[in-house]
Amino acid sequence: MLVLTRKPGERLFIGDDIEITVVSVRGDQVRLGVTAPRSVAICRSELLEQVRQENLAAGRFAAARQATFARAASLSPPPAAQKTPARRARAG
Amino acid sequence: MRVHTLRFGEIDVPQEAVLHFSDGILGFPGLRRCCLLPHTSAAGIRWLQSLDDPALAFLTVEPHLIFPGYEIELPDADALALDLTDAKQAAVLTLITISQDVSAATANLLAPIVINTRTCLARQVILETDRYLTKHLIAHQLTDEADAGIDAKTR
Repeated sequence: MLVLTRKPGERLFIGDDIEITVVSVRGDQVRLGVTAPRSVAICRSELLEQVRQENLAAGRFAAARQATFARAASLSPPPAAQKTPARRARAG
Repeated sequence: MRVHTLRFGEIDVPQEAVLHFSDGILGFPGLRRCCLLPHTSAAGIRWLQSLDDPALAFLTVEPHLIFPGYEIELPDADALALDLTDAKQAAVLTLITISQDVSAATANLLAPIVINTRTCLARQVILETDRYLTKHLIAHQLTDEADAGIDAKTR
């Protein structure tokens, strides 16, 4: 791993088009600014791990419980949901 | 295409119903092709069945049915990967996790599945928000209809 020392306000580039700025350092917290092309996904690593664990729990290892749930449960939408049109995802 | 599944036996999936997860999803990087199978009685609940792994299926729910205010802002990178330019072409599903206690089922509102209904491209999106978590309790929205004769294998 490449390790660099930077001060607040200083920047570094990854390739030509990803720019990381050290916005501020306060105690044990570092604020970083990232400028990157739209196609680059930026995500905190602990979130990735959290979603990974949740997917594993929701998928293969839950087959028996899924079946129980499917037999036992049905959805009853709240009255408000029937009157209000479903909101849509905002894309782009 | 005919596909063997653990829960539903042999199923026939039209080519146009195949959802393509070109990047897999976290924890299941090999997940590539899926289809949605309706739950026979619970409206809004569908199975997301892998077409490559007979044993792998997720329960999904249309989030607005249990969380009426649910709204997502699709990160640019995901909109590009899905080739989504029009929100009307997007379908959003959330994965359900069943814990030991069925009444403690949760929906993952932080990382919904977004589908481009025009191209059938699909991916799991991690939202850039602190409004939603990976575990939102949905049990209070569920009613027990154990005797309603629900059987996912009837399809």
